[in-house]
Amino acid sequence: MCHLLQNTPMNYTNNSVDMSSGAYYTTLEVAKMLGMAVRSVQLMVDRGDLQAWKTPGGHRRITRDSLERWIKGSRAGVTGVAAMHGGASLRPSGRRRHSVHVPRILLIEDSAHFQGLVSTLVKQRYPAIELHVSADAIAGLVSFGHLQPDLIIVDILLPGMDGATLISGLRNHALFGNCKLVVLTALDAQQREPYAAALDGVDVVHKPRLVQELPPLIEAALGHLLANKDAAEEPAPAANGGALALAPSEPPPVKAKASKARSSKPKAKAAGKSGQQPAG
Amino acid sequence: MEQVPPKPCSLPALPEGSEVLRLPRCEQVALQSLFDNDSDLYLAFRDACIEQFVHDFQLAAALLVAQQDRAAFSRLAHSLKGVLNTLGHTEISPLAHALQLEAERADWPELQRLWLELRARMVAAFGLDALA
Repeated sequence: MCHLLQNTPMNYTNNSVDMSSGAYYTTLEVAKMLGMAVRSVQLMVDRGDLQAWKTPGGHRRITRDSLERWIKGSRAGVTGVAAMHGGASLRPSGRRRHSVHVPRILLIEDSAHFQGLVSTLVKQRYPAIELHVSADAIAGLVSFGHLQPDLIIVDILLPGMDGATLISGLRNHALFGNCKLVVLTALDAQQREPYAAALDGVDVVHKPRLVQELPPLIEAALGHLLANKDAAEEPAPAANGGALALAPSEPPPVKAKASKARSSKPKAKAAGKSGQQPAG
Repeated sequence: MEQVPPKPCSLPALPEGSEVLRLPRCEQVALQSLFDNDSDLYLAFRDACIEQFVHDFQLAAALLVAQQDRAAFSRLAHSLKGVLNTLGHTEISPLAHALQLEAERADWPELQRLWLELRARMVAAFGLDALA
């Protein structure tokens, strides 16, 4: 079992590990496999994301099948890395790396144009950050519970739900915790007035100024995680066959990285499943 | 004393590169004032937007034919407003804003007229295929 726990979910689902040892896992085992807190796994069980039964002592026993389904479902998600968040990975050398917290952003934005711009900006300046994209409010709420991001960037005008309702829903979400929130909008100050209550105390970025105003807010929200991760990371091997693009130590100066942005155009389709979503 | 025409605010000098110099003046200003002169990022965004405009045009055409989903039409116009402002085309974005507002109340022929006006301006500004 110990061998199993040190493998990423990807290895796990690839059957590179002997799975015959048991059909159930404890909450702690699943938490270690997924790189999550035990409490998060308990909540996943309570929500029905994972199937489990309880021992006479009240301990959860999670079925292997439901865990496999969850992992596969997560990997088929918006950016396909949900289940691998924070997991240990196998290095080419065969040594294993212990869990580190990969800073994670969830962008809820239906405009393919701005999905692309945010995606390019994050890749260019913060390659260590995982960015996930949801194209509407409902999918965003579901992804939020699933991904438990460190920062959520949300547009106000979205299909499916009024922006104020969405923001309230996020703040009241059981898993909101220490998650930071930034609102991204094309509405000017006057047009935002109907949302004043929901936006109270929230950082708001006007879309035309996104390139200038968003990076400082990302750094303010995730800077400590980036620093922790840098400290935890050893220099990355040249060819990392692992699934996690775990990163570079320090975001290089913007201009030095700029050619990357040009060579990898921020095609909307590359930003997520919703690549051809038109507007919002 | 001879009057020196004021420079357009205190924008930084444009980065070198022929591609940047070929951009319309309004886009050069956006590159300087909104993109911190990061020409690679600006040009990548511009290229991606031009690709996406084709899909936007197709969506608008479909919405105008169906004449049912005003909210979707409004969101499309809203998105284009934000994109045009970000790219520096502040002379066109008011058309998108007007379309966004009218999408909630105007009749469909009027929305068609407004859309065609916006579309024509975008085609001209970005050198798009008018048949797209």
